[in-house]
Amino acid sequence: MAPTIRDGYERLWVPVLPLVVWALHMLTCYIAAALACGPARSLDAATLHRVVVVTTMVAAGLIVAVGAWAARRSGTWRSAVPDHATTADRGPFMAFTTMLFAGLSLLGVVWVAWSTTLVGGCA
Amino acid sequence: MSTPAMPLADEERRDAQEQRLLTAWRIPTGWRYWSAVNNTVVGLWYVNASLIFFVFGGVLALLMRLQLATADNTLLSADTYNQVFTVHGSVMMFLFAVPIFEAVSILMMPQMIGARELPFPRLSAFGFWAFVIGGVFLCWSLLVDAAPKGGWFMYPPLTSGYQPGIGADIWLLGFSFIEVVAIAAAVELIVGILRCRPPGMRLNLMPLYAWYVLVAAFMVLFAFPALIAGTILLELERAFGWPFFDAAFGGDPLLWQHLFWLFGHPEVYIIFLPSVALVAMMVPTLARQPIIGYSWIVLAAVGTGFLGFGLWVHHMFTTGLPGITLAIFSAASAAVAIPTGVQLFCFLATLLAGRRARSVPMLYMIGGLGSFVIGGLTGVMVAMAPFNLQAHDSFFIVAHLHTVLIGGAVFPLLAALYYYYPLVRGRLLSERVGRWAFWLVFAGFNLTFMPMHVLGLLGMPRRIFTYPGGLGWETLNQVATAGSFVLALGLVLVAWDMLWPWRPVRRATRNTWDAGTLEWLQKDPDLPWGVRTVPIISTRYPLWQQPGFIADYDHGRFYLPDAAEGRREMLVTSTVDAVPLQCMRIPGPTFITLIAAVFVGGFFIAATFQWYVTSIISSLLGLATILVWLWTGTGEIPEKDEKDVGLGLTLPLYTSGRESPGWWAMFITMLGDFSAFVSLIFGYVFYWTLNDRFLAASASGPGVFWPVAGAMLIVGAWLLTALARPVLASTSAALFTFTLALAGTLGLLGMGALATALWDMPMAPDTSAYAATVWLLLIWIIAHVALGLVMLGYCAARRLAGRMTARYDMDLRNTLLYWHFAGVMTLITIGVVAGFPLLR
Repeated sequence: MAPTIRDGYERLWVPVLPLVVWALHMLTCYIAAALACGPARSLDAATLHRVVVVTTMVAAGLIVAVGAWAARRSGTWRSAVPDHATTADRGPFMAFTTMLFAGLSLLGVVWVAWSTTLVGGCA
Repeated sequence: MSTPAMPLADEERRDAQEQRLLTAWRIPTGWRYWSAVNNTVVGLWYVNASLIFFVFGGVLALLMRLQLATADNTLLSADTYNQVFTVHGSVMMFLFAVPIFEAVSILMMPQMIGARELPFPRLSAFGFWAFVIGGVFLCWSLLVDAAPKGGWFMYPPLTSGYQPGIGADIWLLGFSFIEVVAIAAAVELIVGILRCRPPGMRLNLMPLYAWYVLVAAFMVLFAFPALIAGTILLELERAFGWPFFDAAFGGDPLLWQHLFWLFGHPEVYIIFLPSVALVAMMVPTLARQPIIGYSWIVLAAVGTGFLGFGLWVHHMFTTGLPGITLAIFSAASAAVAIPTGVQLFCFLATLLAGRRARSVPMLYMIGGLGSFVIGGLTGVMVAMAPFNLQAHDSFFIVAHLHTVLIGGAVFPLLAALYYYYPLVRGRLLSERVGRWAFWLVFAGFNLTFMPMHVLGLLGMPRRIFTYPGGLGWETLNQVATAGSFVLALGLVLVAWDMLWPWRPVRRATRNTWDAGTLEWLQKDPDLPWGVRTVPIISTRYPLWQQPGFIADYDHGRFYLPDAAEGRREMLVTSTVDAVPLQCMRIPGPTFITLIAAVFVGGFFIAATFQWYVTSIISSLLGLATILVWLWTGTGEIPEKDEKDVGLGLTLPLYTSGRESPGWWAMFITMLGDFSAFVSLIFGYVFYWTLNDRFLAASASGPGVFWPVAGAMLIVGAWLLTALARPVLASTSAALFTFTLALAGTLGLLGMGALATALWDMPMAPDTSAYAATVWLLLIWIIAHVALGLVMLGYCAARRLAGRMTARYDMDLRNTLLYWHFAGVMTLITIGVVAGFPLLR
C-alpha cells in the first residue's frame, strides 16, 4: 500500500508557533492602543498598561517555553556548529529553527513592549 | 550516499524512454507554440514580458530625471509628470518587481527541486496571459493621456473625489486583475514547493531558493488580498458613490492607507526575498563552498516573512496616529533589521570561507548587497518616528526606497541573469562586456540616488514636477540626472550583449559554473521534460556530494524515467519528508488559458469604462471557459488505479482530499480569499472603533431576523454538502443529485434572505459608510454562496456524466472545502453585521 501523507513528522506549523505568538502580541498591543487612544477612549491609561504587561508576560512565557522545548529537542548543546545537512537531521533542524524563531520572536515582543511602556501615552 | 542499485538500462531501452518522454512533453511549434504550458516556455515568456515592462518603466524614469535636471523646466507638464511618476512606480512594482519573481520561479523552480513541472501548468499560462493583458492596458493608458496620476499608492480623497477621468479606475481594476493572477501564481509555487519535491528532499535539504520563494509566496497570499479589498472599496466609491473614504459620510481615508500598506510593506519583502534567494543559490557555487548557516538563513527568510507584516504603520507616521502606536511599529521596524542582517552575514561567511571565483555575477552580488545595506540602514533611520516626521514625502524616501530595491532586487537579478543565462539560453554572456556594464550600472546607480538623499535633507519634496532656482537643488539634480543615464547606458550594454544577433556565440558547457544544485543537471535547454528522471536526494548539493549522481540521472536510474502511456507525469510527495505519494498526470498545451484570460480581462477592462453589460457578459463567458477548462483538463479518472514509477515503487494515479495537490491549492487559495475577507471585517471594526458617525448610523442596520435566517439557510446548504460525500459513497446518482439540489436550494434561499436584509435597510449604500460596509459584506457572502452553487452544479454534472465516483471524488472534496470557508465567513459576517449594532 502507498504511504499516506501522515507518515513521519508532518507538523509544518509547529516551528512558526513563536512567530504566531509574536504576531498576536503585537496585534493585542495595537488594538489596545487603538481603544485607549480612539475618540471613545474605551480604555484608560492604567488598563492599557496592564494589558500590555500581562500580554507581554504571557507571550514571553509561551515563546520561552516553546523555545526551550525546541532547544532540548534540537540537541544544540551537544554539537558546536549544527549544520543539519543530512537526511537524519530533519528533526533537529526543525527544532533548531523553532528555537531561532523563538529567539527572534522574544526579541520582537520585548522591543514592542519596551517602547510601548517608554512612550506610554496617546500624544 | 550512493544511488540505489539498479541494472544498467541498455542504450536502446534508454533511447526509447527518452523518445517517449520527448513526445509527451513536446512543445508545440508554429502558431500553436503559443498554446504551450511547459514551465520552461511560459516562464521565459513571463521573464521577457516583465523585462519589457521594466524597460518601459525605466524610460519613464529617464523622462522624470530630464524634467528635474534644471529648475523651472517645462519638458513635461504637471499633469503629464503626475501620470509619468504614477505609471513608473506602478509598472515597476506591479509589472516588474513582483512578476519577475514569479516569472523566474516558474522558469526555474521545478528544475531547482528536481521536479518535472509545477503542479498546475495551465494556471501558469493563464497567469501569464492575464498579466500581459492587464499590463498592456495600464501602459496604453499613458500613451492616450488617460493614465492614473495619484502616485503608486493612490491615496483617497485625492483619487476618489478629485480625479474624474478613468485613470484611477484603470489602476484599480487593472491591478486587481493582475493581483488575482499573482495570487494564483503564489498558490502554484506553494503547492509546488510543498508537494512536488523529489523523494528524500526533506525540509532541511531543500534549496534555499525554495525556502525564500515559499515565504514570499505566502506573503503574496496574505498581503495582496488586503490591497484587493482596498481596491474594491475605492472602486465602489468612484463608480457608485459608496462613501468608504469620505469623512462627511462616516468614512475615513486612513482606512485606505491601512489596507494599502498592509499590502505595501510586505510587498517590499515580496520583492527582496526572491531576489536574495538567487544570491543564496549563487554564493555557494561561486565560493566553491556549501552555504554556511543554512538554518540561520531559514530563520532570516521566515522571520522576515512574519515581521514584514508588523510594519505597515511606519508608512503612516505623519497621519496623526497616537504616540504609542508609533512606538509599537517603530520597534517592530527595527526588529526586522535582525533577520535581514543575519542572512547577509551567512553569505559573507560563506564567501570568506570559500575559494571565490572572479565573475560578473559576483560583482553584481557584492555591489547589490553593499547597496542594500546602505538602503537598509536608511530604512532603520526612517523607521524612527522623529526622523520619519522630517524625512516623510521628501526625496530622502525616494533615495531610500530605490537604494533598497535596486540594491536588494535589481542587482541580484542582474547577477542571476549572468549566472543562469547559460542554463536558460545555452550560451555565455561576455565577461568583458559584463564588467563594463556592471561598473556603469553601479556608478550610475550611486550617482543617481546618493544625491537624492541630500536633496531630501535639503527639503526637496517628492512628486513635484519642477522647482524654482536658487534653493541649492540644481547641481545635485543634475548629477542625479547624469547618473541615471549612465545607469541606463550600462543596462543597454547588457541588452546589447544578449540581443545583438551578430555577437560571437560562446556555447555553454553543461553545469557551466560547476554548481552543486539540481537545476544544473540539465544537458540542453531545448529538452522539454523538466528533468529526465526524478532523482532521489540525500544532500543539499547532490552534484557535489552524491557520487555517480549525474550518471544515474542521465541513464534514467531514478523515478519516472519513462512516459509509457505518453502522458505528462510528475511525482507528488509529502510536505516535510518528501515521501512519494502519487504519480500525478498533468495536462498539456491548450489555448483555453488564453481565452479565459481574455474574457476575465474583459470583465475588468469593460468595468473601467463603466460598460457594465459588456463586463458582466465577459465575466460569464470567462466563467464558462474556466468550467470547460476544468471539465476537460482536471479530475480525470485514470485507466488504472496505480502505476509503477520505477525502482520498484507503485503509486496511485489519483488522490483526493488532503493528499491531493488540488485540495492543497483550494485550501491555500481560500486562505488568500479569507484574508481579503478579514481586511473587509477589519474595515468594519476600524470604523466602529474610531468613527462616531459610523457608530450612530449602525442604529439603522439590517436588524437580526433576515441576516440570521440567511445564515441558517446557508449553514444548512453547507451541512448538506458535507452530507453529500457519504451519500456519494453509498447510493445512486439520483439521491446524490437530489442532496446537492437540496443544498443548492437552501443556498439560494439564504442568498434571498440576505438580499432581503439589504433591501429592508433604511439607508442606501451611497448615503453612509456604515450602510456601504454592510452592503459590501453581505454581497461578499452572497457572491461566495453563488459560486458555491455553481460548484455544486458542477459536482452533480460530473456525477451524472460518470466522471465522479466515491473513489474518484476530488471535485466534491474540493467543493466541500470551499463551503467550509464560505460557511465560516458567513457566520463571522452575520455575527458582525447583526451582532455589533446590539453592542451599541
